[in-house]
Amino acid sequence: MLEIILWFIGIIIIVPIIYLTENFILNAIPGQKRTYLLQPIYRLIKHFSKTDYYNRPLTRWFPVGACLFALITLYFVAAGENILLIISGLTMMELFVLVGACSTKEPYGIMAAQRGIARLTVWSFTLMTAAASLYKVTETLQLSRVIQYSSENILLVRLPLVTAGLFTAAMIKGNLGYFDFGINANAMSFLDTALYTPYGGRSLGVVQLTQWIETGIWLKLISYFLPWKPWISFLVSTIFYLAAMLLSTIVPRMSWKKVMTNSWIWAGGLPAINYIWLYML
Amino acid sequence: MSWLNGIRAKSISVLLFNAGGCTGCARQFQTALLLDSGRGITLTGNPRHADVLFVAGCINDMSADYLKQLYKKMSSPKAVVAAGACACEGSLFRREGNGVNPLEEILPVDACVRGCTPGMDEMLETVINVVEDGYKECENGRDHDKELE
Repeated sequence: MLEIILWFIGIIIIVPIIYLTENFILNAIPGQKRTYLLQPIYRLIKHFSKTDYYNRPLTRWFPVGACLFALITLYFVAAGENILLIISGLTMMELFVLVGACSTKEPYGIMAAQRGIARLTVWSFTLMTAAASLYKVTETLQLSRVIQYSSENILLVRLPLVTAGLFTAAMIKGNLGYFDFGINANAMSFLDTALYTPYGGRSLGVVQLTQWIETGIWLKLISYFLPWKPWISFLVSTIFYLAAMLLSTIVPRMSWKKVMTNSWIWAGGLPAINYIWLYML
Repeated sequence: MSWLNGIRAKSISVLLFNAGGCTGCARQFQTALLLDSGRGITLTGNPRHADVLFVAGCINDMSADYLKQLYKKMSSPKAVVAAGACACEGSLFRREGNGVNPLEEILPVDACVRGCTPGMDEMLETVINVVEDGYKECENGRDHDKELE
């Protein structure tokens, strides 16, 4: 139980630490616009100190539902539960955010929800293919047993493209580089994402917190495929994600249709090829 | 709460609205954000995410409607800053009868940065001070949204 609690806390705090490290590194690079080290925390506190604006009162409860599902999924991940439960939890979380965006009855809210659905199709396909491939190799979907299998056999050797696909899906969720579904295709919108457009004030704070938890869940999921001890694998996946975030600052943004093609090739295509390869063997 | 305002001042999202004119003030502000003193200030294109509405240029009847819509969509507490001679007092265009209004006649303005064009540091300092000293609407407890309606 203590291990689950430690993982629970560790996954929650890892993403703010990644943001702080990113700010620290960017501040040290000459020519970059300097920012406060703790700015992500300041931003979160600021959002929670503001009021909500909605034309429909129910809208504010959808982010709360999403955050609850993120916490439940986090428990599943920390406890090493069945991967299908984790997929369901992540999908429910995303659907709550999307339905909340739709319920604002505003053109930008509906447009954000459409982009979110486009994104959902990609990463849910990645997760399903990853689950199928995992079952093909380990004959279990229970993540606690996958760890045992991973300690005896190197999972990465048989599932390299699935791991790469999952990492790409994590980049899609974080709106990084060539996988940024941002609405403006530039740095003008918050978190550079279409999905958060209709949210403001406290609800935006809740959505941001949910996104942090979700990123931690993805990093933990990726770490199951790495060959080292669980915490070392988690640290390695975190370092890779930080590197992707830093690279993302120098990568140009593109239109969301091009991003969609990229995402299907990398996050959809790679795990599918890996699965076919396993099937052929 | 001074500590909260201190935190808010370290993460300010500004919605820049250029109502028209030479666009000098808007460009000056965008350039000012590259300065070290502009750390913590980011531009946003979304009124829901904005803390400060930064208005530059000549405001006519059409842009006045847009400004009111934008202001209503911002979450409270929020602030309005008028930058440049055009937004602050209508400048010389006001006498031409083109429906040009100073921002104070349209929205509750928290601060004006006068000049044509105002200095970079003055603009940044004003935006930070408006948030750091507490939003006007919080101080006097007025509901500006209702007043507008």
